[in-house]
Amino acid sequence: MLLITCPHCGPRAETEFRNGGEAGIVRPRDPAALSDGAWTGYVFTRQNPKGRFHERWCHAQGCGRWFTAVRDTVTDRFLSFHPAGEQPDEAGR
Amino acid sequence: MAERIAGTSHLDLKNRPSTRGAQLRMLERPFKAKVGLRGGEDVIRAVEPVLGFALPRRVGETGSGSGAHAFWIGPDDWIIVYEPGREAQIAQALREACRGLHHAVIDLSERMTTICLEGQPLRDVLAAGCPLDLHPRAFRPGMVLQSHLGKANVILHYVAGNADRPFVDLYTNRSFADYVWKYLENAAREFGYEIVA
Amino acid sequence: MSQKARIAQGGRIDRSRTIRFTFDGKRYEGHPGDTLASALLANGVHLVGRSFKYHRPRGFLSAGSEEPNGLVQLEMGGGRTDPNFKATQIELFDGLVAESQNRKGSLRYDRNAVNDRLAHFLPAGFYYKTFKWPAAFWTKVYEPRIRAAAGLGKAPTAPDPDRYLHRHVWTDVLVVGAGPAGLAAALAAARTGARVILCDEQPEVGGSLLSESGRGITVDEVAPDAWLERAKAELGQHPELTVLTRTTCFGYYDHNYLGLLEKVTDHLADPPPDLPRQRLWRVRAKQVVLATGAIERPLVFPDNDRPGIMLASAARTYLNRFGVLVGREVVVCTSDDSAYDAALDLQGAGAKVTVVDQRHTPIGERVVHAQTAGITILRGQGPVGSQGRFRVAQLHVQALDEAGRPIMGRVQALSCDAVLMCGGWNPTVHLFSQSRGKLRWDEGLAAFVPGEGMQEERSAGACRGSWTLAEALVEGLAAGTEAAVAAGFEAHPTPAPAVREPVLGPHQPVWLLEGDRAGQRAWVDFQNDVTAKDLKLANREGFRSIEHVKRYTTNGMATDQGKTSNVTGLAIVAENLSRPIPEIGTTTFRPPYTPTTFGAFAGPSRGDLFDPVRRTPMHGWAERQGAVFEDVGLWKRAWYFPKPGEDMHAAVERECRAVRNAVGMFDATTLGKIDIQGKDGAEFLNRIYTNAWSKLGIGKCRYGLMLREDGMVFDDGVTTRIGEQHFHMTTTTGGAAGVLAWLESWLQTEWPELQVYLTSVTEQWAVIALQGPKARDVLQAVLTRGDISKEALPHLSMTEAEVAGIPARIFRISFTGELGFEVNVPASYGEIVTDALHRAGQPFGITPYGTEAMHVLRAEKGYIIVGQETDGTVTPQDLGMDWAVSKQKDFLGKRSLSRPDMLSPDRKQLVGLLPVDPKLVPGEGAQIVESPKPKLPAKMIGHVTSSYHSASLGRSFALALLSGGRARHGQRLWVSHGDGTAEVEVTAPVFIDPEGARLHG
Repeated sequence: MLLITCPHCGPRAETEFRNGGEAGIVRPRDPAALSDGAWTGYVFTRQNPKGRFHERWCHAQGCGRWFTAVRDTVTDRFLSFHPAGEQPDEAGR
Repeated sequence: MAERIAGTSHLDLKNRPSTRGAQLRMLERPFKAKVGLRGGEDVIRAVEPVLGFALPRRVGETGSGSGAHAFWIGPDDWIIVYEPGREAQIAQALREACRGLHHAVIDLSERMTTICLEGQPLRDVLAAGCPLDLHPRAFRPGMVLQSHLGKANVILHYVAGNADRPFVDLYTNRSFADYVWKYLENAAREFGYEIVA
Repeated sequence: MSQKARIAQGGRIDRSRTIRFTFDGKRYEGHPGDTLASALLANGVHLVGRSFKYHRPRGFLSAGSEEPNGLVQLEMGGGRTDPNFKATQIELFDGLVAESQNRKGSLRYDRNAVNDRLAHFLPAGFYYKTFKWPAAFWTKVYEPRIRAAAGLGKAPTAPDPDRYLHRHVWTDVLVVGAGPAGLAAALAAARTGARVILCDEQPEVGGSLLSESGRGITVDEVAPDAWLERAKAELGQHPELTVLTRTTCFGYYDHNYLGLLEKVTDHLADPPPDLPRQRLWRVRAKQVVLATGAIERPLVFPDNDRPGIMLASAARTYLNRFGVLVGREVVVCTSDDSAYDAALDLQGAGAKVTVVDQRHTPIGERVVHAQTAGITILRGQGPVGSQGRFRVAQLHVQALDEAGRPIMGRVQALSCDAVLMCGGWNPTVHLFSQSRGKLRWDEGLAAFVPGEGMQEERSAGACRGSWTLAEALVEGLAAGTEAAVAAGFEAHPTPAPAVREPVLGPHQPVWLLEGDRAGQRAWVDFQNDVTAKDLKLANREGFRSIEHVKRYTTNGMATDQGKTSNVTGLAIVAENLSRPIPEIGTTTFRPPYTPTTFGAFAGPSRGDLFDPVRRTPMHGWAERQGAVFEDVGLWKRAWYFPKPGEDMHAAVERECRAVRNAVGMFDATTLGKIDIQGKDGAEFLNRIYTNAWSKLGIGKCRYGLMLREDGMVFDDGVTTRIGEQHFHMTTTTGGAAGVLAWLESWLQTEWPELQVYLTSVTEQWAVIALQGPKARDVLQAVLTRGDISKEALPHLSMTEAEVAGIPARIFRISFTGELGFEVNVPASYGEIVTDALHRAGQPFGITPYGTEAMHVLRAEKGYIIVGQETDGTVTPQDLGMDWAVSKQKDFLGKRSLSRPDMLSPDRKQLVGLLPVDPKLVPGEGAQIVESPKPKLPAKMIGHVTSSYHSASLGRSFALALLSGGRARHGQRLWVSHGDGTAEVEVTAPVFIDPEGARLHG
């Protein structure tokens, strides 16, 4: 079971959290202007990288805040945690 | 004549047996006043004079004064707890203080119930289903933490006492109270528990 | 004296008390401190099991958790029976009853023993080759018979009567293993003030020291057992040090999360009822010290599996710890110095001992001691066979060349009643490996040792290949200190204890000793009955990867997880393939380290604690009204209210009729409720609902649909404007938590600029729905403040009022098509208000109704239920709900609705169905086809989503999703029914009051 550091509450058990999939998917500003292909990409296409992955978590059984974590999918090590609105840098820190 | 319904009404605590050699006391206080408050820095500034104490700013912290406790729930989120019956008055005072500011004040008194635990084994009893670090070094008097007990969300408030005789109030949504109560009984059996009804 | 192999004194057993126990129906005696294994051996019982496949007679190989042979079924009475317990780990208690496993008949006369003579026909993989045809035989004939013949114990059939608990705990340092290294580590860490947990599978701490005779060893000038007593005394002095005995660390998971199984009462004849049988500790450790010791390797030589042939360390444990001499005429076969300790100890206890050393020139200090003690040592020789039916009687030894191969020539037969083997040692790296650490082959030690680690852990002592006591203590001290410092504590330097012990000579492994006759079998994996021949066969048949060899031969599988077989198996495969061992690699060590009961994993999550049972405040009231309840998510909801003599059908008909003709009352408390505050509330609703909200007036309600971005309906409900900046949203019962999380994720991450706060108020309110033409009359009768007249409170509006003296929000909402009110009162008053309404409603014929009647009533009106009419593939257009979809504004999922697939005319659309036979109620989920007897495979063009008998219509009716359905109104189609089909007519999905006159009454 992972140990996840909520940016607001500190390290907590994985059972307190809900995973929200890939982070950084921005909703298009004007969906009507998008081609079917571009819209489908936004809705359905997700990265599944081997290695560093930006993902969303919600501290559901805690403060209820959504945040972003950078996790290495090979080792399951977390590289960093970021509250909503803060972007991980290139190195994932 | 019908009565107000407590969270554990279905368990009929008055007729529920305690065990022998009880080291843990358990009781439900269903009707404490609980008011939810949401807002930013401006709201904090506006309500603190009304409350008469500072709102907690970080996880684990509480603010207290004149019979009330404010629990840190999230970065812009608090629950303020009073003795029963004051919810409407408190909510009204907070609303007035926040007028014109982006805020939410909401009465949650009925949403949650409170199970009061007292006695040395309560950390071990809670640890049967709660993944928090409840060691005296981590969970100290005056602190409040949110987590889960088994499959129920809980808020744990270390009201007072020392390592030998701690008092903890557990807040949970009312329909989970039966489950939480039975969960605690199951975990407390080896220590013995006394039900106060 | 019945315990004929028990020596007069010594060991850690209490000879002053006698314990009686039963094995295979025969009664024996032992002493407190015994294991079942030591007590059986004390009674001279060596035959304790039959092997997995060949049903060979087997005895104890070991004295610990690595035991592959001595598995028993424990019968504990009261439905308690547990299979596959290792007798070497069962603490003896008075009245213990155990049975041997995997035999047909008695252990001595096992009818399946014929398998051993058929061994030629049962090589590795025989079942893959033999039992292929016919395919139908596999599940019906082959598998059941193979399972019956080859197997372990019997699973219990009764529910588990015991209690199991969990305990979550955080610690600075977890030390696994309480041998010398673990003790040193735990004490060093505890001295810094860190929180430390020390766990060990044994009932007392000490590890290898419990089996130590202490010959030639001192620690700080005292005997090892005196040092152990000192260490134990210090353990009690550290308040933050928790010692867990009888506790196995069975799994090492991500982020230093470890599972510990504490056997709380398994060793007690009469466990106190308030204690759990076992406790699963879920430990989050900042730092871990692994001090898990090492497991001795058996030697692989022909017929090495006879009872009486065991590990040298096991014989030493039985002697020094349990006072049992496993043989009077003992041959010790070894390629390592450590076995000389056993030779010396057993000789000292009166046995005649011969050592067969595979090394030509062993040079260690223990060898010299043995020689001095007059023990015969045959150097450069090894075992090549054995004799003896139920216990070894003879060992065949032969001279070996420098490479360890037997030299053709004279085979010497040594008569004996016990053979002790030592093929070197394997560090117990299971937990390290589970932690994702990489193993490294150490050529000098001829063993896998921990290499690069992946987590916050370190190994100390024998589990990293440091065999001596001095190394164990030094490394333990260092590891414990280092762990505590890494966890943030300050350590004061402590000198390592001064240890004097015999100097070890080098180990020289011989992995396989071939016999002198063809066809002989040498066992590698005792539990799974895998021989060196099987490995050879697998390699010959082309299996190269060790993972494939493992699966083909089953070497190292099952509960044993290769504790005694993995490395020898690997080495033999390496020899077969002429490749170095590190190139072969290792197989995966999987948790649990030792078998762990399902009960322990389940913990408290069983029976009424399996899931929370959520009840509304009116549950007790409904119970007293005779309600039958159904599960909806975690909730118990009143399903229907049968009167005496009524079945469900009759009750639901009566309830429906009451709502249509008079008035019904319904507990709608479980609906999700979300309080929305902030100046951007309306804009927020615009974005998440398909319809428009900006112009909704204060005190007005509106129905809304929520879509996911893929355009599919995922929730619906009515939302009401309470104030200019205040809304009250309702969601489906099942969707409540999910909808709030979904809304929060948009607010927090995508639209932080919106000034909106959401709060769940589902449980704040009790909700009583009053539905039917007399609803207003009833409500008016108990209204103590407010105006609910047609003019003041039209359909889809809300007022703050007072009902029976209780402040209430009254919503004019209908989910039945009738005049309807939903009365919201603070939750704890739910029963008071319900009761008042029920009394006031008596003159009007008020009738409580349940979820079943609610389903019928809403279906008659064509109102959908999300999750019933929708399944994640249904759009608003499919439901014919375009009226609720805004053309002007954007909302979540809107863009998807114009994707080409969404516009296809043959999408499944919501329709009504009227069965031609008005009594026939099609099954929900029934498929729709175009002819009464379609050719198979039939083309399925839709399915029934809701189907009921209607009291109002006097007939059955259904809702369905049908391909191109709106163009099919009036068509005759067929639905699957029983073994055939039933004819239905397609209609619009509204059966009652299509104009909505009743609604606005």
